[in-house]
Amino acid sequence: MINTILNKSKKIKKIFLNLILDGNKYHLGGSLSCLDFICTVIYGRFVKIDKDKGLKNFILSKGHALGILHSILLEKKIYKKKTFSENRNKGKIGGQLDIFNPHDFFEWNSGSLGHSVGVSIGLSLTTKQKIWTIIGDAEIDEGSIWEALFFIKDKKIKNLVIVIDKNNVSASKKIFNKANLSAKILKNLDMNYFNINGHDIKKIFKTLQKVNSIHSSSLIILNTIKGKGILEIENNIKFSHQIPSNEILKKYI
Amino acid sequence: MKLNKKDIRDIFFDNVRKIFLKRNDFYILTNDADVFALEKIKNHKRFIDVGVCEQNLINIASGLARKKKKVLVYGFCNFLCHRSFEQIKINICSMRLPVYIVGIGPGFSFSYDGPTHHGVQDLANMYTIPELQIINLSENTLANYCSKNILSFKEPVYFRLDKGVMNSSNLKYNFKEGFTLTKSIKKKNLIITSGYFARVAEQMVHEKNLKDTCILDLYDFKKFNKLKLVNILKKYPKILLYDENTKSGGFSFIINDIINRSKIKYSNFKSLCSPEKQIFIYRNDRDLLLKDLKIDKYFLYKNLKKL
Repeated sequence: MINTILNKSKKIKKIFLNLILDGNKYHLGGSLSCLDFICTVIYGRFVKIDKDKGLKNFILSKGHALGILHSILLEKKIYKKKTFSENRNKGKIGGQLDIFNPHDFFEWNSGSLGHSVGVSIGLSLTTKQKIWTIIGDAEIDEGSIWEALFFIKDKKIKNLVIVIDKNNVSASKKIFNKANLSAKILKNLDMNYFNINGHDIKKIFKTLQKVNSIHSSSLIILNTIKGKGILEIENNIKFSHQIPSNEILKKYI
Repeated sequence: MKLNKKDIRDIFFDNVRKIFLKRNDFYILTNDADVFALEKIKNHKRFIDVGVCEQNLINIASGLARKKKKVLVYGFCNFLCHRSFEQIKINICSMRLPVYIVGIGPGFSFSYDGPTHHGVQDLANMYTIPELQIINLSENTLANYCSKNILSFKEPVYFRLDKGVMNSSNLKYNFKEGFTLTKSIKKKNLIITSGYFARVAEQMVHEKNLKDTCILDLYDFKKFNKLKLVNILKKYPKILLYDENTKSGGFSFIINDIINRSKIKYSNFKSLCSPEKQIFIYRNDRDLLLKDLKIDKYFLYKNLKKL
């Protein structure tokens, strides 16, 4: 299984970079930081992805990383490349995730930061299945996230998995030693706390197996690198929005 | 670089930076938004990047302003206005604290990011706060004037700041009336507009060489000269209101209110605004998106001809 995920992860990265070369305006850095994790969740079958039923119980709060999900849909042929290109030309594919394309496939519209933990509580109250949410480490400054985190603790909600993509770079600056990401604070939220390397697929897989076997909510800190795998842009603030030259991208395909 | 060659954001924030460096009581706060002209002062102790937390951002700004500091806050207009509405209303405006709130990315300027980033309702939202002055900056000389004289604003102001090089060929901006009007020989059609759409309208009138059409750019939504505006409205038999915002989210109601109050009766009054729905169309170019929405310069011309 681990080898399969590793191979898929490499493949998804290539598809993703090709999409950018084709002119899609994805946020490269913040997408690559969570690529390995998303691939492990989906190809490790921790969440179900189905052509007809879609990708449910999974919210990508950092909606600007939607290019990874698009790449997975293309790899799984849920989205045909031709249809994808046609839809892009029609203006249906953009820089943030929405539920309309493919129709009703994703669980939630995202693009405004800080909403998804609360939203996932709402979803979790309707099911016993686990609800997954990936948020960014700059996003955690939003107060609404903390209102939701304390609600989870107070109400003892048991089926949430909240994942923080800690790549240490926000849209405009490097962010280190944030008080709200300290283990001391997060461990007090009464969730299962994991702090792992977000690019070590074996470690991610094992952690998710553990998360799935526990009957209570979990909080995972993913230590990642913004722009992981493209040396020229790794940890570089400039590439929060910008895309490097085609020559650089082609080197990694 | 000459004023007419510069990006409007650079003009505005270059002037702000100069004031910031001259005065020890001037603070700049942001919610993790990047502005090129402020790069050099990002590490200054009076430049505070609060992080992605707009409500906290506005609260901190209000505390500083209460202690007589001059405070400018900037960020994407959508997130600033909608998310921290109550903080702006109560903590800044109810105490009339002179905080300058600068919303970047108005209208469809983030044409690739969908409704979370479309600033087409912020104007009406901010309008509901009585003490807040609202200024729509989409012309280089106007942005230059306002930013150079920013400290002359003694009450809270919401500046809506566009992007790109934004020059007007016909409109002369002063800061007395709150709007400006192009001159034409025949006074037949009047396009009332604001922001980026004033530039679009100018381009259309120029390209079609319309000698009988004037453009009125309303940029100050609270303190404009109402009497003068009414007198102008009375002179034109045909009026087209042209707004990048939705009808309920933009300035339509301001003009409609003036027309109703002054009892002007038009048989030829029409409006062309953004559709009343959240737009899930993504385009690299703002004008392409406007075309999809049927509100670009070609549709402006079509609608004008139908008046």
